[in-house]
Amino acid sequence: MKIALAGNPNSGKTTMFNAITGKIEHVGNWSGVTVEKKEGDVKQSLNPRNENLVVVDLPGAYSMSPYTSEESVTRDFVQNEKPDVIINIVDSTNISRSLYFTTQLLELGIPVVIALNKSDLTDKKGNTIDVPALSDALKCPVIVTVSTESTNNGLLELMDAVITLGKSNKKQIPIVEGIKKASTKEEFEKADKKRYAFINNVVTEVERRKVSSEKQTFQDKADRIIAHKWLGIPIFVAIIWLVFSISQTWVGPLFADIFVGWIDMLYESVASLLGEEVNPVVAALLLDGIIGGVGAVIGFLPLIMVLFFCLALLEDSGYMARVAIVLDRFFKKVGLSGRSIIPMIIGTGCGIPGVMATRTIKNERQRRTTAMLTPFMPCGAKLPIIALFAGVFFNDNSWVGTSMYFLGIIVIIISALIVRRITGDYSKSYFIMELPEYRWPSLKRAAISVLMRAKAFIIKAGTIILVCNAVVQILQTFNWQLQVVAENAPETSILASIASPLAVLFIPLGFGLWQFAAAAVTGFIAKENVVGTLAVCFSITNFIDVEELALVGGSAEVSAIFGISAVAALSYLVFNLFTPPCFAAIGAMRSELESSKWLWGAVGFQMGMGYTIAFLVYQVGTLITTGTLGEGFIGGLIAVAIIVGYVAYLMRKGSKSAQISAGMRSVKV
Amino acid sequence: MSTVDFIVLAIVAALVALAINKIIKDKKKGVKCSGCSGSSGCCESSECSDKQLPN
Repeated sequence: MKIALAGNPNSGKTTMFNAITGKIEHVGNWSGVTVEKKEGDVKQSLNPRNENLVVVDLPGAYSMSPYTSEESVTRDFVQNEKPDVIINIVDSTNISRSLYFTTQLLELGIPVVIALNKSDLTDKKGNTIDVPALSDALKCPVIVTVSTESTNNGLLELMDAVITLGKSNKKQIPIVEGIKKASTKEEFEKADKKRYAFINNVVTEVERRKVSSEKQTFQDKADRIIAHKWLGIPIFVAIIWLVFSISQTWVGPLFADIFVGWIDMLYESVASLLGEEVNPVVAALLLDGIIGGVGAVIGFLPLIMVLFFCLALLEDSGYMARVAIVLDRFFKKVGLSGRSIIPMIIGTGCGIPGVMATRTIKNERQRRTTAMLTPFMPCGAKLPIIALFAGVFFNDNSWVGTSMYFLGIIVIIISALIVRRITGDYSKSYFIMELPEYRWPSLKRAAISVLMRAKAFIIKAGTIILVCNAVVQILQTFNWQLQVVAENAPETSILASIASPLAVLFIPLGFGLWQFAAAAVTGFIAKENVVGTLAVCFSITNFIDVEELALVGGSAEVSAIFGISAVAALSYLVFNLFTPPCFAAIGAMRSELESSKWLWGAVGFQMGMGYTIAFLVYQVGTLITTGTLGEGFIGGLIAVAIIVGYVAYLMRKGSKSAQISAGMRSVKV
Repeated sequence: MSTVDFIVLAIVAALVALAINKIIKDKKKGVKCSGCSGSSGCCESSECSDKQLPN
């Protein structure tokens, strides 16, 4: 039996899907978290008769009309794949809004069971819903559910109703007929009028609200401050600073200390097991290449877990949806909207789902621009680089992470402005978002989310990063004659000879060393590789000092080994953050951009942006700190002038074509 | 090269081979990036790619 979960955005579909199937799909207290359908089997405890039950979680939709692509996923599935039963999840705190979609689902002839979800919140508000009356009015079973609860959640009753209805072969009786019968706009509007009249009658009959909508609730009062157009910004900055402080300075290093102790222990045990008998090249491959390289990356896992735990709490509380509202007006000015912020916030975890989330944006230019700019947000893979450089060069200052986060947003805003000028598309869009209610974030949900990310991080470290570090270790051990390079001549290695020509390009950016060039290149495979490759190239087993309980206790020592200034380190950091993301994220961009012209333009733009920002950071920083310009200024200036000149040319061309098309429109009028 | 060297090399080769095998398996399942959270194509688990929904 095929069961579809359908409902409005943020009605709790994925939470219910997880509760029914036992899976752990990402949930969020805002709309637009799910953009693709997901499938799973009903777990044994909810399927005592062991039926063949497959549940499909669909993206949220307000109607069966093709407004956005995630709605079309829902519409296409429900209409074309004909599920046996539809579970329509209705947010019981707002049934008047939910029933529009319900009445459309009832028209399809497929049996519908309504899950009146979030009933705990309805009870808390003192509102009541006459469930039997609602069931009579809609001519389908209505089951009260609380999918966030592990017991007494109504899910067993729900599945029982689903199985009974699915086996009965009864056809659903429609309430209003519009989807199937209406063919013109007028007919749709006529049907919609009937639909709204019906909904109003039902809501008046079945719902008793304690709090009238005119009264200001605590939520409204909180939003007046948190989502305020000016106050909202310093609040956002303070919260992100707090998140980075907790994860990178206060709590994260405590866990990192224990974790790195284990990695150290493993390293020492393997080293003593190998002893003196083993060839030093072979021993180095295992110790420095694999254990050291992978360990250097994994050492940052506790910091990342604490950061994601804090972000998961914020997301679950409903705060991040307010961020979209606060930033909307800035994004609107550059041709985007608050809708673009959602993929960017998702992209803070990983760029790939962030880029995929752009498909909820209807306007093509906005969608492509967002997909192109989302990787500028510091994703989880970039966090070890931030943590490493903040620790080594900036005394664990949490402002480094915070400033990189906000620099990412500023770069996105500037880039969006440039892209708008290049495309010559000045169309505007309006952002309407249903704000989720504030709630106490669930520690359990945050912990599950973090454990999933940690599992993913360890898998990545044990696969892509392990292979890359082994290859890097081999390439830096041998020269082109396949002889082991002399200890005092690492620049003769295969790796050095490949990376050195690239390193020349980085002299104006302050890090013209082959090791940094090699690390930047392996970073395109996975950004964590930057840390792993630096560890392998500089033979630093781990970056976290266990003795001193600090992210990088021996920061002076490590920075001396690196041989670059703090300004150059900052430049390297921004270069890695603002150049193109890993290949997997570029692959996701290719899928969402649906145009090779846009894809190559995006990659070129990101490369130019990363190079330009790194050049400015290094040269201006060096001028401020030393009073003179940095090395390679003239060469770098020429390169940046070419980049800026080309972008300016494209912007001019775009503006001209926009003027021409505007002129043609006025002539037509 | 001693026997111990070969054993260590075999361990390294086995680790790399296992890692590559996992990456290839994930690619076949439609996962865009091994270990990137939420990067799978159809769904997170292995179940959906080859599963036929009952009609």
